[in-house]
Amino acid sequence: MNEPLNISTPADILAYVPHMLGETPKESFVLITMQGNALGATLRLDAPLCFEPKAFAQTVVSYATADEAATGTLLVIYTDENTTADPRPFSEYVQALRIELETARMPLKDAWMVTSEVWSNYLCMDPVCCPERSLDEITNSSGNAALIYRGSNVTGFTNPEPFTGEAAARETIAAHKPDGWPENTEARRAQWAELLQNPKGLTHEAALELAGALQHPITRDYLMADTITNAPDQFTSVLLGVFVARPDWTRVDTAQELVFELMKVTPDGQRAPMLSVIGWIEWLKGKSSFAARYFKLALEDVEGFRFAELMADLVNRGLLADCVRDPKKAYTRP
Amino acid sequence: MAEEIRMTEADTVAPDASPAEDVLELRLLTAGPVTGPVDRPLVDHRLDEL
Repeated sequence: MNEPLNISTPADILAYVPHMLGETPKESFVLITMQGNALGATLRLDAPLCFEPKAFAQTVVSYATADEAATGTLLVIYTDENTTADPRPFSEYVQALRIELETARMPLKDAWMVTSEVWSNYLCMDPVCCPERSLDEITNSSGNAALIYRGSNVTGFTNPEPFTGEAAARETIAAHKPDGWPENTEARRAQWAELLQNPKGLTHEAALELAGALQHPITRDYLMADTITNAPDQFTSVLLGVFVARPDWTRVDTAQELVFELMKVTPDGQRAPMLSVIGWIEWLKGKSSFAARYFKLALEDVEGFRFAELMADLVNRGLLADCVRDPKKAYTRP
Repeated sequence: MAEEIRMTEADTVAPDASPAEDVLELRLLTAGPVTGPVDRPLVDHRLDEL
């Protein structure tokens, strides 16, 4: 196991958030649970627009209580909303959150606000003791350096590469779309299983075959389910991230990389299934913001693409994959 | 005696029906209000100390 990481200053904590989320949030509330002096779970929600303060606070706390060992919490608000105003932006929400967190026995220990230009303590507006500070302090913090040293990298959202295949790819992929017969699906499942073991074995022809296979909803469903090991047989469980044991996350990462590869040979108008699969994997990993963006891209590629529509709705209603709530099963970086 | 059940064309499963989409439709029936995406990646549990 790695040596403990020393996170001792607010700048360290603010550096830590993007490393957990994969990007610096915008217009967001980020709640970090604390287990004694150690950091626990990181939770990000959109800054409230239409919510009532109490309802919003209760929603946030309902997610935070999944960390049963939490003894306290830290809050970071990312916003460019009139940040110099007194009271602070979202003050009613923060007050409601304090009350709900207190009730849940994970009181708010401290809070900060980060804009696109500066950061400051949220709870103290005294410029003498808590002045606005440069974002460089976060970048240059020892916490950020330690995370980078350990191999963590804030990669941000990965845009799929553009189509680089040949002109005939569209017809070839359409020709490879299965007709729904089981033996046809089974052949693609066997091919997919082999590639998950040996991703370097992906040839141009195999990429076109699998891109075609993903165009058929049932075959796509099977290939998605086959990505997860240690899952019950039912589609329900696999799809919603209900796993009986920790899945082989390296295999899931491999699947995601393979699907990105398939997109290179797949022209616009046939990419929606792949974008949806990538979004689903991000959602399983607890990164719903990235997932939502992939579903949006899928719907831009094929208007009304059903799977993406349903998943986008699910994600926008704040539903988390079941495995995300269980530290023994949730995704961690390899 | 049980009533005879006749399958009609409307009862047949479409050749491109997706079990996954059926599951999602069912799950959405009990989903809450729109909150926007919620991220909850797991901390790497490297005993991060304050």
